[in-house]
Amino acid sequence: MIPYSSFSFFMILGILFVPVVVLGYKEKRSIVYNSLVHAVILLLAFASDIHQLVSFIVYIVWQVILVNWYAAYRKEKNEAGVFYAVVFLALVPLLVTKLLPVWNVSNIVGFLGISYLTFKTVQMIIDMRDGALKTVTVKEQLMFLLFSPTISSGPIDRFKRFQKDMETIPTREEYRLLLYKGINKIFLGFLYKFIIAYVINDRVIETPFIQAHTPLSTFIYMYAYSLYLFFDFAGYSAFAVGASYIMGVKTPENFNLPFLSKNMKDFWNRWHMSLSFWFRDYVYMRFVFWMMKNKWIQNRYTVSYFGYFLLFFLMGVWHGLELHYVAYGLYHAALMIGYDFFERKNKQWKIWKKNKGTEVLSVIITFHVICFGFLIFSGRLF
Amino acid sequence: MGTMMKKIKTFFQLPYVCWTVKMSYYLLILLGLLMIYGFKTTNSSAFIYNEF
Repeated sequence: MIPYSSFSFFMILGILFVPVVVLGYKEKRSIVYNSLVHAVILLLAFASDIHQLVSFIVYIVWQVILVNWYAAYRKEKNEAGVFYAVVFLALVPLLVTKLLPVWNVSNIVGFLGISYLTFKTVQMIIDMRDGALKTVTVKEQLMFLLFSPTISSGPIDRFKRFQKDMETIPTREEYRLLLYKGINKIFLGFLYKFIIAYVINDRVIETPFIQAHTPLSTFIYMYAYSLYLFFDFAGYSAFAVGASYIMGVKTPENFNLPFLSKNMKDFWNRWHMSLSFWFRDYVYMRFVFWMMKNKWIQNRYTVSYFGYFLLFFLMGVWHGLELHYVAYGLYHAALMIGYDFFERKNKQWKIWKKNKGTEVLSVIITFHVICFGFLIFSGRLF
Repeated sequence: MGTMMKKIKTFFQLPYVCWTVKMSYYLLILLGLLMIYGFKTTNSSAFIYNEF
């Protein structure tokens, strides 16, 4: 059973949450009961496929060993080679999962949510390398990795932020607000996923006219698919964030009105935020810092453009090794570099003046540019 | 115009109005779900981002 994909799942979730809510109102939290909730949800997600269940357990054991070994090692030493090796080993299961379909080998390694768990683990290793994370117990790591509301597709939380929520028990009033927000989010998820996304898919995308692959149908498909993708994923994220709130954890948001973005930088601060911020902090920033430190390229703008290229190329490849995902990544890299260049030059040339009219025009242009990106992403073009 | 907007804002901030609006929003969503799916369990496909 895929989390949040059926009403039966919500009924089970509702029943499981009753003691959580009662305890929340009493300003209490039961680690034992919450662990039981997580175990039931994880079993629902993985037990129907024995390969997935076995892969999931082996994967968790692997990552726990890696992180704990590195935490112990880091107290004594800090060799770059060891750090890169540990990051690579943490990435191996995900790399294998992505590569097996390319080699036409059946994927027995992968399981639902492997990417998101990998992002969490790599983040912990990098934070240890930087000294931002000193110690992690197995219990803390398991609580972070196995937090069931976000297990299948994020949002990708940060360990220290998550840990803070786990250590703080909300007051009655704080919990009442969290519960209210959580229920609101879950209803928003119903509206997005089960009503709007369903209607767009059923009444537009799946119609014979749109499936006909004429230029007009592709043009309409571009907008329909973009909206469908947003409502589908934002719906999922609303469920995940809502369920987290009910469990007393303020999981970060994934979306903030992305179709109202004024430019590409603004868009990546509003679309799949937990992923784009992860790539910004753990790929882009590190790359730029590393290049500047080694002084391989003197010009900071050139370094930044290489950083954008790397970030979006990896983001594209992460979706899959198919050509359309790679093209989607490169398309966004080109847009970000192009926009950054334009923004700098505009400060000197003042071609695009800031006023209400240009702001509205910027939103309209950005919307169409984004939709074209999603058309590439959909794989309909090639 | 400003006074009118202020009055409308104050009206929608009244606790019972807030409650009615919120309840209607929830009910409309439930009604929408009922219209689309009836009393069957959903046959919704997985989320797109589950694939990644």
